[in-house]
Amino acid sequence: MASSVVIVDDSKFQTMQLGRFFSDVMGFQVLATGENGEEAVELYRTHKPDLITMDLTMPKLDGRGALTRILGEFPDAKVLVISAVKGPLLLDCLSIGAKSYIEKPLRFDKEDFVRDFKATIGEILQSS
Amino acid sequence: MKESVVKDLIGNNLVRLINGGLQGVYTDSYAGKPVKTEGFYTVQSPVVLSQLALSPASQILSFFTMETDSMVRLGKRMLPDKPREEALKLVISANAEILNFVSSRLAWLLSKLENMPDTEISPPKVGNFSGSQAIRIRAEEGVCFEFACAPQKLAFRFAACIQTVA
Repeated sequence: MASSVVIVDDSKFQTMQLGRFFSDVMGFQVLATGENGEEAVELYRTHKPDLITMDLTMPKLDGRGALTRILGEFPDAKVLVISAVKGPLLLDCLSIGAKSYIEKPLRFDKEDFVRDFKATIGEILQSS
Repeated sequence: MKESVVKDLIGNNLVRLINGGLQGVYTDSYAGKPVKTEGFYTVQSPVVLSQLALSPASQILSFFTMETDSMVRLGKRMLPDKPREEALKLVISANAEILNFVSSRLAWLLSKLENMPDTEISPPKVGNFSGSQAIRIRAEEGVCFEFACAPQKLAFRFAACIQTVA
């Protein structure tokens, strides 16, 4: 059975780009997309996907807040942070429990990037 | 921290940062050059993207403006299967992604410059700055760059207003 993903990013362009990549290249079932942290929490509760990807800079509730809430309710949730943010906030998210981090811009036109992206997803799905 | 120091930080890094953000979104390459003025930079368009990067000592309010003609051309080329309005919205969203990348990096550079880890950025916003809603940025408090991809007849403008705590 295909793995499932929920994609949350306040950029519709980015959710489209990620959605295409996950479905067309990775063979994932994209269960839903959201555009803020509150939607991320709701969508996780509703779908309980194998993976949720999350931007950090989002309206209403930011990615760090959503990550904290999701892991508070679902400690086994697999959250991948995808963001342009650099610095201590990232380390903070990883210490809270995000499984990994991918830095924007997303270079799906680059073989190296795609290979690393796939490897990261594989590692997250195999992690306990 | 003086505004001129932050202004130089942005001016010296902006073209590289914009090109970094562009790479994840568009395939065209753009040439960037500073807009020279002694007075004010004007931000005026029905669709302006704005975003705030701030540290305890400084704030940078950035504006990204692309002319409608360029957005329509990009939408047709990148998303030929989408209706015009939807393609336009996705181009605006793609531009917001570029702005977000630049603001993230500016916040990071600010944290390095000021040796303060507590920098933040707001989510990008879309606003109407046409007519009387246009804003002016004093040249000594801001920067403005024009970016153009001549072969594809595409252009956009990036302006930033800088304020620092003395």
